[in-house]
Amino acid sequence: MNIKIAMLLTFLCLLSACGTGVKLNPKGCLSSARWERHDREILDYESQYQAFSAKELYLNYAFVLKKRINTPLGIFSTREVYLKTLLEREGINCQDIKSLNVTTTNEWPDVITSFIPFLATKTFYIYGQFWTEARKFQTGVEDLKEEEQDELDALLE
Amino acid sequence: MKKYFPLLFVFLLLSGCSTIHYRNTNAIPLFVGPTVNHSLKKSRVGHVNFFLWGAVPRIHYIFVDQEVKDMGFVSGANVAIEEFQTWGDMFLTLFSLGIVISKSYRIDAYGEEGEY
Repeated sequence: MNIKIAMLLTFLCLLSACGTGVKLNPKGCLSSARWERHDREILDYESQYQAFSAKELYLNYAFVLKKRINTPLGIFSTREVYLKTLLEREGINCQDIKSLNVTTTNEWPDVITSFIPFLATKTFYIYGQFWTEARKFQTGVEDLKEEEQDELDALLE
Repeated sequence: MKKYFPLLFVFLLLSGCSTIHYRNTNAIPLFVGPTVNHSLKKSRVGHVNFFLWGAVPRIHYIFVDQEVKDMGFVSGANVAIEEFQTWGDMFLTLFSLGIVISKSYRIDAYGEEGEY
């Protein structure tokens, strides 16, 4: 009997851990930035033939923020994060941004943490261009392999 | 203990990897932050399905501009993105053993109504 109860509790814990709810709110981010314009036909092509590559983001965009957001209550409630706060923590002002894109993904660390109750996470990539071309800013670069890092450094120089 | 490994493996598969890109194809002007004349707030909820433990499709695109346009706006601003799983999504994922992974999203936007 105790084993059945333990299994049921485990199941419920896993259930609560698997669910994620995150809201990215731009409230207070005073900016004239727009969402970056993309060609629909190119996106249709990419969706069929290309997988998501974080490396490409680092090569193509002036800023890339990678944020793994913890959603402790999973399916029971949504965690709200503010774009302004995320940018300011990395020293970026909303006014500096020219264009923005958002991608959400479940990476393997997110999959692993989904097994641990109250530790479910979801990864957000927030990336785009600055008004001034000179500025480059990236976080999460440590996730790149060494040769990719060298390639990136060469490109940024 | 060994008999629990298949169960854990199933849950690992259930979790799967999935990627959703939120994109603008310029159907209407879409501003990141709050902007003047964009005072009406509307929301729109949608669902996307991944199949085979998140492997198909590898990427889902959600066209934010089209969603905001479908709200009846000619221009959008202050767009908030919420991604979540409802109980329905969760049970669909569990009972299909991860063959279908359902995710929901909500787009909240302030906009300007008018004619195109």
